[in-house]
Amino acid sequence: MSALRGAVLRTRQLAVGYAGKAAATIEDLDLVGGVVWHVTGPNGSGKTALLKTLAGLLQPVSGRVERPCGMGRRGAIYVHSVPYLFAGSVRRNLELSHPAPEEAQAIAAEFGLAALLAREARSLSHGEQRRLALARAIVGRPALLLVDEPEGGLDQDAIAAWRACALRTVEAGQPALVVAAHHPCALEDVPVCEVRL
Amino acid sequence: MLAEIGRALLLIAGGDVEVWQVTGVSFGVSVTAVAAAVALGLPATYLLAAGGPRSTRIGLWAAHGLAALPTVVVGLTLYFMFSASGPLGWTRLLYTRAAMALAQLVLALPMVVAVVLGALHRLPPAARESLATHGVPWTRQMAWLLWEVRSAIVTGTLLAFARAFTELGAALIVGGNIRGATRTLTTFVALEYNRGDDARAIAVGLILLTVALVTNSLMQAVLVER
Repeated sequence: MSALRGAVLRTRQLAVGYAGKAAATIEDLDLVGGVVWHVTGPNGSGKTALLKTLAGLLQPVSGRVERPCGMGRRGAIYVHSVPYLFAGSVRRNLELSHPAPEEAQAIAAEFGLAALLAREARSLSHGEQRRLALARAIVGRPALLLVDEPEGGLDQDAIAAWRACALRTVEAGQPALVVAAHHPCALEDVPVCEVRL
Repeated sequence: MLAEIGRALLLIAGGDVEVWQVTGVSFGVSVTAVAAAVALGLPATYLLAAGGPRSTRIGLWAAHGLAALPTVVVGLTLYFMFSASGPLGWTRLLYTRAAMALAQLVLALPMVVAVVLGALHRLPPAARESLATHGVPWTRQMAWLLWEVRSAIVTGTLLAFARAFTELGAALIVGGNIRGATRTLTTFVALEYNRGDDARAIAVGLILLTVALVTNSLMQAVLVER
């Protein structure tokens, strides 16, 4: 941890991709809490591979990722561009990383899900499912939150909640937030560091 | 023929002691075998799926192959293993219900693994990744993913039960069709047919048919609910 000097994650000479084939080589990154990183690039440029590698879900093709925290609660959490929701209620999905019930309730309210807690998660609309996936990750209080194309299908209220989350990240100094997106409306007023692939 | 069917129905309705006794033995042996197949099969299936595409492919290939294993081959193999001169002769399991349950376990296990592993294989990678990235421990990941494929577990269990309950070859060879001990519905039908007691053979056949139809109906209900 001390070797990272405050960084949540550090990459060196990193190449990312699938099945040993590099899709992108990445400039060296030192991700620290409270900073929002915007990963951008054309389709197929390796944005998803980069986020999954930073999350620990993919092995680097070459180079290294130094990550003092593991995956999950207070670690790194990745949100898929097409999230997978598990069978059962919205509440069951929100409690995947074992948050305190009041924490889950507060995040659900922030993302407009409070009235939907008892609903079957898969019966939600596309936008509501995206909101649930974001809320599920945020309630895990990650040190590093990686979000892949978060705004597809979100309405104005949900985008506002997502923007508030990003701003809170900057104000509170945590987590380190990495967002892969083409034109993220929610990040317009948020200071970001850009990673172009 | 109609007279024989009428006699068969009277035997069932009248509570023929032997007919209902062999029905009890059949259920006892098959339920034990299928319960063991599910208890062993689910963790094994999860490990195969968690091992990646290669172990999943090998698992599916092996399970599909073993699901088609002839019952007499299973019976003969276990007979040679459990016979007095066989490597497991010391267990003295031959001609017991335990040996029959073991034979049916060999027949049922591949059905459970083939159906459940296929369903786990079809889950999107995001399911497993979502559990991993939220820090869900390994044992809870298994519970979450198996819950996702619960209808396949029910289908696999019913298929395994149908295979075990209706098989004849293995039960006859390792059970020996001993009256009051290892006589099951299928071996009873074979015996009564050979003896020429058509009514009793039909009575037991009707019970078997009923169980097969109920199992099939339950399977259809599960498939429709998916």
